[in-house]
Amino acid sequence: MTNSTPVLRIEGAALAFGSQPLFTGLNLELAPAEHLLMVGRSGCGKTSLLRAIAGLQRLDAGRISLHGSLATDAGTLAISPERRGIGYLFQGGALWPHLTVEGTLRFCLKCGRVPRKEHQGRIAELLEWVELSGFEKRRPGSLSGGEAQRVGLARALCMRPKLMLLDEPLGPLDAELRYSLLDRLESLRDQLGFATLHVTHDPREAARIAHRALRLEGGVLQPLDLEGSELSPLQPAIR
Amino acid sequence: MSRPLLILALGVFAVLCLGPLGIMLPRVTPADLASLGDSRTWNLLGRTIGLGAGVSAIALLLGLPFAFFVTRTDVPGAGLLRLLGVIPLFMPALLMAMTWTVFVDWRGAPGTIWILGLSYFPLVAVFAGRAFERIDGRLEDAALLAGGRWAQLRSGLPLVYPAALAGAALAFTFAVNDFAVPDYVSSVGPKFNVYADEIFANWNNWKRPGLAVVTALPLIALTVCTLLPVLRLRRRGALASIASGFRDPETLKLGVWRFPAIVFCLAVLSASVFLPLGRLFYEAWGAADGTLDTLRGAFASAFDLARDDLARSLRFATIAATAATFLGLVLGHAIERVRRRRLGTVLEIAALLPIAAPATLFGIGAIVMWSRPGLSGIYASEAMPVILFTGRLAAFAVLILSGAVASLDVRLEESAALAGAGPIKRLFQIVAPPLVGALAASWTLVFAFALRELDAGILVPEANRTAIIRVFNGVHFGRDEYVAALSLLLVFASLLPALFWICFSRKRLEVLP
Repeated sequence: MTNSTPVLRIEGAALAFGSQPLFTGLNLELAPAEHLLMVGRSGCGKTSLLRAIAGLQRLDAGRISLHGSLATDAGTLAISPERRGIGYLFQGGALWPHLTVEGTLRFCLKCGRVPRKEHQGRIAELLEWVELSGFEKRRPGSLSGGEAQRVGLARALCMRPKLMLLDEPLGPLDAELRYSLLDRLESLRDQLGFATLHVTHDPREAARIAHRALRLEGGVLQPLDLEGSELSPLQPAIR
Repeated sequence: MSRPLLILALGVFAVLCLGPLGIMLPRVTPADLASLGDSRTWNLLGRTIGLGAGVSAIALLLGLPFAFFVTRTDVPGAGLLRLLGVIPLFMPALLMAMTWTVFVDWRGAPGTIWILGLSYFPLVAVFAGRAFERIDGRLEDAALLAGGRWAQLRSGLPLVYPAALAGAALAFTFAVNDFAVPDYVSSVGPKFNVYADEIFANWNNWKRPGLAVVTALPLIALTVCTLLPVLRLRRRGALASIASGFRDPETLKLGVWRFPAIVFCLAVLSASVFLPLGRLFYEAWGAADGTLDTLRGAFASAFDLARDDLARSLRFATIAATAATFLGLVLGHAIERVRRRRLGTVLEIAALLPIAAPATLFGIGAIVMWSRPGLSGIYASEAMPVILFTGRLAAFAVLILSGAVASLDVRLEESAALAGAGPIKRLFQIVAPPLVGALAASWTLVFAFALRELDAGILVPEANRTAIIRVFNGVHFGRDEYVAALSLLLVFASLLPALFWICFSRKRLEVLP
């Protein structure tokens, strides 16, 4: 693998929901540290594509390669989800209700076989990254929407992934929190150098931190101009 | 999902739960099949269906209003009434029969229907109660604005009916498969033959397993047909997934109807809990001439004479409940999460079979299966009752836990997978902890049902030395203070794990999503 090897390569991917095709013959590449914004209407297949990349959903046809290695070949998972080294930020966080913030991160570190003596330092670092130091003992039920989403981000970053999948990460948040989380994502991306596939149904969202944008419509990916009016970020006055 | 773990669980389920039924089929001979043309078989089937329908009707009539009052209204002590209303499920139906046949002269069909109706009304109450409290408050508000209180009630009831019908269908299944109550009611009045009785007699008198199977076939078909809708109904209406933004429904103020409501609830509880337990206490006391010493003596005798039986019952029930809950977690998870949906459906239907088959038939199957040469060591050991109870009751754990897994956001598991957790770690560290209420409910239910398991246990020699069999023998061969005291001890033992959980855990026992 070289530096120019795409973090993600999708070739001829096809997926249907029942008898309704979501996409067919879909191709996509993502370069290291690139931030790709994917927009599209609700139900167009954005989340299904993310899930297929993560190995949570099998394709009907096509291949997905991660860092040059074949990960999914149509209905076969060559690499299981837990071995793909992907960070995934789910809409709403999807936090484990029985674990504290610290327990959540510790669980991930254990799964990643990080030596126990390093756990405390890594947890402190992760919480600092997402500005949640002091929240170690809190449970998901006691967190606000923005806090839960940031814990989800910390969890996704636990194993320092080279590919981050963001599924409508700003959906339930108000404008101020959206901008705060976007700033955090941008600085972490630049600091840690992960590539990002950022899915949203709101074309304005995150346009200012993305390097490239695509629209998924009718099962086809079309490039979008980041400077175009459709993708212009919210005006500073709203911030 | 861990494939080796799933295969292991499927293997255990196939051997323990389906094996005793499957092994009986090849034993059917053409001569046995001829009994299907016998008018007696169809008369019995008609009578048994009548019994089940009557029990379901009583369960609905008592359970639905009871559930409404204790979950949605300001009836005094609603929480306590709701808890007390579950007790009949933990009481052997035989005890209900022992006491109600003393209170009234109803025998035959009316007596049996009334007794089983009281025993199984909590199934409707539990299902409907859970549905009542899961009606979205926003839906009710919309109905209130549109048409007032009546519209509010009318908008909510259709959401509760599926759950209530699921409970009634379960009550039907339990009733048509019950052997102990019709047998006891027949012993104190004119003979009231039902299907389970006939299967037992066919085995007991002629030792013809094939005939027992053939006799049971129409009943199994009937109960499977009754239970299949339960699988659907338990996820319908208010028991379907809660929508985002769900708001708890408001507590309805009954006003002047508060008094009739509490009277109704207390009457139901009196008939199903207070009177039977009170009567047993009265008998343990020594009836009219009794003293505190008689009561003390009765309990002392119960402890002395039945200590070993009680200990065995507790041991068997504890191991069976643990094994069944473990199986339930693995298979319940598989039913909901297996990639091939059809496999999940097949597994779910297979899980119904041990419940759908009469316990007497299951017991006969276990005898045929485990008493063969080479396995007789197991058959004659204490492992046999555990195998029997786990096989018979694991289906409850599977169904409770599949429902619980269905209510769990699948993304919790997916995020754990992406964090690097393998299938076994995900099952036990991510799926199981949020389901602790359902796991506890599954364990306590299987534990209580194993303690009261009579119909299958009575046939298998090693399962004969339990407390419930001792009570059964006691009431048939000379009932006294000792039998009443032992019955009370049995009820207390059945309730103990649930009581512990309620007292010391902050989580609810969850039998439904």
